[in-house]
Amino acid sequence: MKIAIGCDHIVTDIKIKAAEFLKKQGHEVIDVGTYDFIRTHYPIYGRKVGKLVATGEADLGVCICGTGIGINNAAQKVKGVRAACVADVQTAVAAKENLNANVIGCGGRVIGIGSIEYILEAFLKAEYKPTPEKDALIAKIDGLIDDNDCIENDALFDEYLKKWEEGYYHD
Amino acid sequence: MKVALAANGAGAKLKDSIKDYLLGKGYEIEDLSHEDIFIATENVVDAILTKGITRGIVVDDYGVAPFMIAAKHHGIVCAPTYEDYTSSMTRRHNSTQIITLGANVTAEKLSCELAENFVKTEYDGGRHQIRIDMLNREV
Repeated sequence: MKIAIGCDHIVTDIKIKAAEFLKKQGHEVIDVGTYDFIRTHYPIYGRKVGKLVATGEADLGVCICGTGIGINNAAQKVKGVRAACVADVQTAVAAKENLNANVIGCGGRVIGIGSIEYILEAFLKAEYKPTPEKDALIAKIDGLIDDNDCIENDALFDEYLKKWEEGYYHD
Repeated sequence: MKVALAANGAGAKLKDSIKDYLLGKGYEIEDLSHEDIFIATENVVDAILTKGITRGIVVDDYGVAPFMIAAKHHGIVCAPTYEDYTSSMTRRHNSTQIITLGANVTAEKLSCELAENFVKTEYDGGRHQIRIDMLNREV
């Protein structure tokens, strides 16, 4: 399978290990970044993973940040993405079997690489088990976002990055 | 503080435990439960976006479906919450308004504590706000 993977600067080392695991399993991995530990912003990478999955350039996505919450919200806000941020195998499998999840995520500061490998392996192996009720719920979830510029506009976040550079956002 | 709480059938028992626990801690509860998890979650999203309620909790079997539903909305950050770190950090860094809990995943006593951590923790703001502004630009 072709798998897109992304992270923020908090868990780049964990993401690299997860990507290596996927490659060893025979998958093609598209690492959208970030690639180092320099402070950046999780929506950039969640959106990139979401875009690759939503456009079919990747079969599935993997999103990791400190808790997993920020980056998986960013992925989920891409039309066509159904992300699950989990801490165990059973939840990951349920997400695929019941909701045909196409992005799996977790917190790199919450669970370790051993759990992540178990989750990835189980999620990739699991298959959606369709019923009319599940299909209807998935259609409703996918229908929550109207067509917008989130997928095609790669300059989506530029105005905020400019304000960041100018010191607008500070603690 | 008023907390919007909702569950479907799979989350009803755990939701009632959380409700009793939070009431005992002095929180007000608006119970917006519905047998259909889509409607239950939309009820909580609506309470956050239009009724001035600042915290919502949705309970089902795994916490996945309500996350998928709530996080699609403009202005909503949602966190599936299975342990302590996320329950407070997602408030501090993500300004999360809704958490989801799964009755198949977290037991009653831990779930009550996760819910309390979530409702009592405030957002740090500052540098974290650029990420929230970016999420709100996506949808």
